[in-house]
Amino acid sequence: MRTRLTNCEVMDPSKGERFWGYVEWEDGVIKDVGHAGPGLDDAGSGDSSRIVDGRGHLLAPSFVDLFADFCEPGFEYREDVASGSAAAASGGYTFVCLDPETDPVCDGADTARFILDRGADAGLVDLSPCGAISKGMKGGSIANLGELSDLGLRCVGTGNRYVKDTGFLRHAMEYAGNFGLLVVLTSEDPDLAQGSVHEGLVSTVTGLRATPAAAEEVAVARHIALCELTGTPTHLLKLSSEAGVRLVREARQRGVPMTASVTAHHLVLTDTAVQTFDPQFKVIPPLRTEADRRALVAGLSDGTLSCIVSDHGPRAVEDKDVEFDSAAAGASGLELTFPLVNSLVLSGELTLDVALGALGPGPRLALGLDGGKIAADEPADLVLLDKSVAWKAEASSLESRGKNTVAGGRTLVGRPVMTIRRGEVTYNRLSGNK
Amino acid sequence: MPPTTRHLLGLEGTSREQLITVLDLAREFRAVSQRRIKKVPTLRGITVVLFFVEPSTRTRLSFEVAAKRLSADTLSFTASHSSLKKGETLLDTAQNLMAMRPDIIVIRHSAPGAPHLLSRHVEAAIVNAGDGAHEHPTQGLLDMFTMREHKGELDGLVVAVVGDILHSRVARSNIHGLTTMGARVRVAGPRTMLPPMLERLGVTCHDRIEPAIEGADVVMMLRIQKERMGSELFPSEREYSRVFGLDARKLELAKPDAIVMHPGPMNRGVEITPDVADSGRSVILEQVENGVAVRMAVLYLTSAHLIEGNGMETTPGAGVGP
Repeated sequence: MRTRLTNCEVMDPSKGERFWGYVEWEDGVIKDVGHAGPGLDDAGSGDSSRIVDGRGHLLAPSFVDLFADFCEPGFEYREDVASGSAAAASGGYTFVCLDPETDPVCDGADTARFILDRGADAGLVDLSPCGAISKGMKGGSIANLGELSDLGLRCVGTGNRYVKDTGFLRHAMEYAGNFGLLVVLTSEDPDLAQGSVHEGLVSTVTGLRATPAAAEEVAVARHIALCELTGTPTHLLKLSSEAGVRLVREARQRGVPMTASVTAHHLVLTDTAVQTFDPQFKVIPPLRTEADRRALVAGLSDGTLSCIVSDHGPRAVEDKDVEFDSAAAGASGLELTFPLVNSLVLSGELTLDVALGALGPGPRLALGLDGGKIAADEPADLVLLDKSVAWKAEASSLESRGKNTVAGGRTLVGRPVMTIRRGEVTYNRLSGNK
Repeated sequence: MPPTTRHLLGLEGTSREQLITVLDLAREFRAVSQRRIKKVPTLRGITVVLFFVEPSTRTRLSFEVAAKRLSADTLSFTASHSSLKKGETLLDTAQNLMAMRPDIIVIRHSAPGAPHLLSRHVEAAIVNAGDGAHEHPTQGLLDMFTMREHKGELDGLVVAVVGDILHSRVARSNIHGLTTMGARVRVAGPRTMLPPMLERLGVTCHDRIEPAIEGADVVMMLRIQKERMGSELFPSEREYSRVFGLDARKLELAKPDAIVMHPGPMNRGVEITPDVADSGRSVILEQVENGVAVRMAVLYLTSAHLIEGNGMETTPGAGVGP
């Protein structure tokens, strides 16, 4: 069936184009893209059997996430693949890479296949579990990366963990290179990362155990060196510091095959958020200073950071309603990433081009996926965004089982209203009542 | 005690006027402890829970005596007896305590921010009796009270705080309170125990004890925790006492009438030599005594709205004075 989405503002960040028009697709592939004035529903090719009014909203390539935790198998009380998929579709995503730190760990074909099957059952997003690069995530022996690759996985990595043995990591990265797997690493040296807040004025005042920015700097430097040594394309997840951005910028300029990402909460918030000891702001790596935040925004704007990750970390109420030190780190992110990033677009800190580029095309490029363009013969992976709707991230307004967000009681602005994966509508708020 | 809350969570953000209110009131309450019948009916009908989730003897006893001298009912709940050891969460335990309908919960906890967590979830007024390395506001108040008794005004007073600042809630509360009152605070200790950006709190930092105590009016030594000895933070007890400990010779650098303070418990021979601890300059035992008066003032102020509601006596002076 040919579908035509009309009356929308089409935005292709890969070309920097933005125009009023329509998009037509059939069998999951875009067939036609054209200009049409707002409100004008011209006939187009005239053979569309279904016409959807985009109501003047913004149409962009759908979002791709490099790091989310769906908590299944093992932690289904927090989230499962079905609820996580619904959250992803609601957040505008059509493709999500998952944290390997499930129970059991996703370090082999059995667990990976289980997750993929659960994802297929849910049928809302394409999943690529990020395989554990070492067996049991223990950092001692290389996982069966070949069998993970055979299942179609795009990336392997260390989740939120850190492989201490640099020699081992070097070999594991080399081996991942054999299969064209992207290596995805978190960069926080555990010997320096002793706490859950940034080491600075806020930690000094609160007395909370702290992690200096140097913990990231040391680890990023190591990962750049290993990426250069092994030649295996590497992605550094969720940078949080000015130093991290600086090192990656310099490495990319030298041609090191490396990409890096940042979360929406690190782009928007600083460590002052933890002054009230609210565990909702306990995330890995910790929120840092305003200078770091600005460096992250600048890094995104100049392309040093080409991806925004959700770092979706759904947690149960009992994980968070405890002392800050005992609380689980993480924030439910898939449904808040666009609104938080949109707040920077609205304030003029980021351009819409950069924001949407880092949510869709950037991660696709890092993973070697097709798409990310709105043009004929491209996959019909699209998201329709209402840039101005105001809403509250309350329990009832989130699909994710994780109601733990960094939004507090604040009103967010902007939200996906329709998500389209290979031509199928996986989320639709346009006709909904919410 | 910021004006918007009835809790006492810390001295950070507490105004000069509020501090003076507590300190003035404490002086009146101290008189109660000096009488033969050490009891006034001020908080009759008020229930105070002493919720101590971290070992403490002197602070708990001090609060208990303070509450009893004000005729409040006290319930003591300590970690060793508690169900927290059985895995119950802090909030569940607190909700159970609320079934006893306490008016004030005095909490000691090893986690920074635990009193803040309680204050968001329970009805009672929360008094922080020490939360991890964050704050120990009543200790800060009693230290300021003691300084004020000896030195008159706190404004312009030179106070040296020496030792493990990083892990010290006592240091933090003193720094906030003293800088608000206009004192000049110097801190000294091994760099491994000085948290970053302390200067931003209005203090000066020193690598050695000598420049910190030179010309000081008050020398406050902090307890060094034995479990940190020989760790990555400093090499040995011997070296610590030699470089950062207070002895009679170093004390000569301070003003001739300088007083020596310590929040206790002391490690004699480590951060302070016995001759200094027991000398006429030492006000360490006075601190303990003043702690009761300050805590009486804090319990009174955190329940003042309740007393008004009961139509009971609200003028602090009445029924308290000699």
